[in-house]
Amino acid sequence: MSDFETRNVPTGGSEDLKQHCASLQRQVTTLLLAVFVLSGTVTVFLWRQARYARADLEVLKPPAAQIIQSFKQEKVIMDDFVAKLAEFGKTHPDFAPILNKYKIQPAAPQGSTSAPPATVIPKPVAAPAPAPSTTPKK
Amino acid sequence: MKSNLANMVLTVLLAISLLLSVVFCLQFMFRVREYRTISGQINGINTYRGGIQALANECLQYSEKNPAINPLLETVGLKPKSAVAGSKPGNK
Repeated sequence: MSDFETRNVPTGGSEDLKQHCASLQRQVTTLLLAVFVLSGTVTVFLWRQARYARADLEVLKPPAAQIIQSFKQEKVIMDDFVAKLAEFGKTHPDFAPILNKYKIQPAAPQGSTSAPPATVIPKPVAAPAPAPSTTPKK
Repeated sequence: MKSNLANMVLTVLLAISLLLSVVFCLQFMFRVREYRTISGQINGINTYRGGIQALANECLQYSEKNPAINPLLETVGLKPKSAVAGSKPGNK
């Protein structure tokens, strides 16, 4: 160990050593300055991003709250509608394809407890199907 | 000695900068996560509404073939009651 230390000591004496130390300190200072500049740049970037994200959130929140609130009220009606359709599907087999298309399970017969409730798996919003031709056949 | 002081000041500044970076990064992450959550909810609602709307359209088409569904459509306001009353034959 002591051999290693003596090998690393500059041979020029204490003046040379001081110069080396000063040079190293300058290097460290320069590196610290560079890292600080880099870190500062990243900090400013992140600060701006956080600010933009907050602005976006503030724009989105009020209408989203309204939409979610109104949907909560509508959902009761929509679920009721779906349940009624499922009930209707039990007595009208020709309606079954529509129920199957929207993955609506027909309502379970009374007394059965294991069947899942009627559900709709939402599909992506698609253009409404073209209306059937209403021209009366003669 | 001067250099030591400069190094110390720079180190402190660097530490502060790093700390702020972490704070801003966390803020950004949480806000983006909240934004995505809300956007996801809105998308889900729109998809659900679209599905229900398409289903309602198909029900309306079906009602032209089978008017038995009309009372059901009337209860949710998809069809006006007067239209059903008017379509009944034999009303004088």
